[in-house]
Amino acid sequence: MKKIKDLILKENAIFNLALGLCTSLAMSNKVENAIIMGFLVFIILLISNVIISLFRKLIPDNVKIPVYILIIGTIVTISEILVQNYIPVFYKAVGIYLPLIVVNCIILGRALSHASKNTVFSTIKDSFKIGIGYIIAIVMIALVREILGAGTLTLMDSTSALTGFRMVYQVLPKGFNLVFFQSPAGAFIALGLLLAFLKTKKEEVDANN
Amino acid sequence: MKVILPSNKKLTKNLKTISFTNPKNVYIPLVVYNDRDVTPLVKKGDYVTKNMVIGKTKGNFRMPIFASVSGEVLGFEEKLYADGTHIKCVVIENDFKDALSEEDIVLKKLNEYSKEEFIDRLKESGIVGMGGSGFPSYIKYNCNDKIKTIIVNAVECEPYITADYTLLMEEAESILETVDALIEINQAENAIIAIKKGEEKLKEVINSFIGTYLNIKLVEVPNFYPMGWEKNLVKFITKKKYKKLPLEIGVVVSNVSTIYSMYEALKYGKPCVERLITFTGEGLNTPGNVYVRNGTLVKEVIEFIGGYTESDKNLIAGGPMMGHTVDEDLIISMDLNCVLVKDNEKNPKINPCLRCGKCEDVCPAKLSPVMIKDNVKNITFVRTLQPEKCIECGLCSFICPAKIPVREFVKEAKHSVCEVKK
Amino acid sequence: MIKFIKEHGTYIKSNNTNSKIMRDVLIALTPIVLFAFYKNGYIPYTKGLISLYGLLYPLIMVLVAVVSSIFFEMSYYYVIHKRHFKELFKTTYSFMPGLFLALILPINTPLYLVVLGSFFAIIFGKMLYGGFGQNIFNPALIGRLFLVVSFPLVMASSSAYFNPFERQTYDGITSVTPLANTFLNQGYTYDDVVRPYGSMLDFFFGNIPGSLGEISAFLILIGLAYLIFRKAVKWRIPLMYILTSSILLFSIAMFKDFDLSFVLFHLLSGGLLFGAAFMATDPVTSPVNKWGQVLYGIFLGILTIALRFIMKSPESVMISILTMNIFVYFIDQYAIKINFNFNKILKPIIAIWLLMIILPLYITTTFNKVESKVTIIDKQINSNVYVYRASARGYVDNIVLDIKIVEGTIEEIIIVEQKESFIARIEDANYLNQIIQNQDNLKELDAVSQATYTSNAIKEIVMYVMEDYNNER
Repeated sequence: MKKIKDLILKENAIFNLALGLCTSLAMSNKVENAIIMGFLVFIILLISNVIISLFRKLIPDNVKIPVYILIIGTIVTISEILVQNYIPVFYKAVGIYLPLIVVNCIILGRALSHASKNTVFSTIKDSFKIGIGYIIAIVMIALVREILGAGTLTLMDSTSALTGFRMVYQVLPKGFNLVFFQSPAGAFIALGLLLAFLKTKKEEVDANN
Repeated sequence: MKVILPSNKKLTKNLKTISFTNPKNVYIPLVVYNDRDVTPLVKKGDYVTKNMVIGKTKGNFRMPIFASVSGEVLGFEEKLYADGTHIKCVVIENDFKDALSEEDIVLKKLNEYSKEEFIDRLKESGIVGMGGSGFPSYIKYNCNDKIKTIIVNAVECEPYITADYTLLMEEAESILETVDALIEINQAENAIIAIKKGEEKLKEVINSFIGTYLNIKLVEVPNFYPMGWEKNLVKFITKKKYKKLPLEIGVVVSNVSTIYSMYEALKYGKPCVERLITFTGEGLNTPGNVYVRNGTLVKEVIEFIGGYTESDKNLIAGGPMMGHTVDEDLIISMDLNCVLVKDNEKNPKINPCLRCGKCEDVCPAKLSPVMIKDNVKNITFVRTLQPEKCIECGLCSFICPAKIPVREFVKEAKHSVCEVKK
Repeated sequence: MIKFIKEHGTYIKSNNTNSKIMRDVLIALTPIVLFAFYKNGYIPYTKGLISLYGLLYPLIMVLVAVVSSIFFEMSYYYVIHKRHFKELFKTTYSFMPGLFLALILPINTPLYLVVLGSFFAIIFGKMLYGGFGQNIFNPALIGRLFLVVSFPLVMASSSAYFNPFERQTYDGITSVTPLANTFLNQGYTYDDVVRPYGSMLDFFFGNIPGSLGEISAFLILIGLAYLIFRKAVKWRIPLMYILTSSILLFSIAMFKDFDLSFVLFHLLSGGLLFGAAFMATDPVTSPVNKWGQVLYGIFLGILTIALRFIMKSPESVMISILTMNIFVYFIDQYAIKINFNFNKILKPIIAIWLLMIILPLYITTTFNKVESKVTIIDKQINSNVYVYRASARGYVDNIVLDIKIVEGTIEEIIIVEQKESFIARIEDANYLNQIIQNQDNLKELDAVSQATYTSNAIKEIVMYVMEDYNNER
């Protein structure tokens, strides 16, 4: 339990490091999209950081950044092609934002700060931490945005083709939703509110320790 | 925005003046215009005569300090000065003889003084600005620029104070004579007596004497506060602005009480040891205008004129807008023009700033007190707001609807900016 | 034993207080609230059109807004800051945003929306910035902005702005407030825009549909005059706002040959007077410096006119005030330099001068009556049966109609192609049949409510085709 609390409050990519905000805000209008995007970012983070960590001794310092971007770009393009062909439902849901993962600061940020200096095993641990923290964070934002903004809770809509059943729950009665939270401005405000709330929680936890 | 303050001058206007010129002890403050570096020329046990020089400042101005009574020097003590700080004083026990020393001073007719003799006499008589500034007057007149106009400031815009008014009513003839002599001595073109609009009695008194002087005019200024501030007064009368000193446009401004002490110095050789002060306020039983000697204890004077009413008091040295609260061991000095005693009222609660902008609208120095108040800790930014221009008139604190003491913030900013400059 | 107490500050104080200023604002707003009650509650009640609840509804709306704003602010203080609210209530004036919010909402806003708007106004517009005196944006406008964005249909429909008596009187109007009505007619004529609602005097005294507080120019001006007399308002802001707007409107009217009624109409509608007098002069969110206030008012005027005519937005006043609220801090910092050196005002003045010349010129070039360009795609003639295929631009894209005319009368109209958003309304209202039945005086036929552009486009196509047919004969 403490580990999960740490993941959200202490070392979270979105809430503490404020990285990767563009994809998290764009894709959090439905919980399902958030899960898909989070999962994809996690996989790509894991693979690219492992590769970078493997080659960390071979890449000279002054060409570090272009080489990392090259690696990440390649991996993203490969995964885009794979997703497009083998899991077309994912592509329909988040397809447009897939290439954006290249510039998602989480991957490059963790590459520069962790993967370029640590062993492969440590990188795998770190990617898991950051990736799962990212999934939790983006799902939290999506929960706020979707429940308040559309009144529904979508767990399996576009992906129902894969599993065969739909999971869309109407949480608020129709007409009582605030469309505002589905818009980009609402996304920022939801993120801001979550940040404020979690920061107070963090201070409480710190004060207790 | 122009503000008219409630005048409250009825308490002491047109009352007969009282004299309290024989105090038991006097405590002569060893300071002239904030210069506290004074060489005392007497020590304990010496006998001093009235008007004897008992100290000289060592700073730039070299002003003498006089004994206001004759008697024995009891020693040195610290007493409370008008700006709220403690100052070292020479304690003289009055022998009630008012003995003068044998000194030969060359006395001439007023307009026969040459400019150099005039400046010397001002300096030897220790004449300072008696409207509250305490600035040595000889420096104002000792200049290379040509003086075109002399303005006599009898506006007295602060509420409660009637010292200048009473002096002008009683001694209008001598004052006008002195002004005329000043015009001749300084080779000026004309002089202007500035009084507040609506003072009919004063106008009558002055007009009865002013006819003989073709170069002196009487000008009435509107009743806004602070019309008695030099910049405002010069701008209203001459319609011109200046940057630092009015001498840039050929104008010199002197307070009317200062002019009267110049009269006494030039005609009778008397130095500046006595003046007329208003003792007023709702906390006194019988307010009045009193002639007092330099160094007198305010406690004694108030007892003499009738004492306090019951209840806790604010004892204020100066007027209600620019004065400071002090304790009872305040001593009279020549730059003090009023002692105000008010019943202590509970302070109104301070509300958050409404940002109404009234303080900025009303500031005569065109500052922005609200922005200074918000940024008082940030010295680099506060410096661009120029708080050193503040004249501490108090209008911002007066007008604030949230009852925030804005002027104190501006004073704090002023001090931090001036300290950094040093 | 008398004590001598030392204090800082001046020893005489003026009798201004924050409470007196707020009290003056409340006194200035009272006639407006009473007029809203009279117009939207009392008059329909005396005509027997609404119940007792409807009679009191304007007052209930104001009451609910005020009480909910006080409740939300006090709960925020209690929950987050753990402060007790008795002392706070007197100093933070939490009823103000609620009262203003109620006055700028449509008259038939459901009560739950009023409470929601009040929640957003207080929490997001005031408390999150730190409470009284610290907010950047006008809280009432934030509340209204949130409601307009989240519930656009509720806030913009005619059922929100018309009370039952007006619905009876203004039978032919299918759109909403007078300002929204002008965006349909691309040009401006007195008959199109003012006459449906009455005369210009009706606009001045407030006999037009609209929100609770923004309609009566007469009462707003009286309130403003009272506040100026009591020195409780920053008078330079409404003065420069209205002056700049009038000058710009005059220039547009001159270039387009409109008459004086154009200027008066645009000044009296869209909530401009209420925004200038009460919303823009909110002391916390407007500049403190007097030159800053002048610049603020001028830029507000320019922005409002630009948004109203270039972007054709009915919320131009709200958007311009919220936008200029962002710049208040910078205006203050710049304006203090003007205090010391008056020449610094030249730079903004030159920018303003350029804007005020370019803006009317630009608006007049885009302010055209867009002739609905109907194009006849195909014309098939079989003895005396003509079948036209014609198209024109509707609201979204081109509408293509097939019109069959036999012996001078239209027999059939079929919609071939359309991409309109509200085509369902046209079908529900059986509009095509209405056209066929009224084909002799199509000009008088009203458009379908909530689908005006589409109906007008269809009507234009039919009229154009009729004319072509008659010309052929």
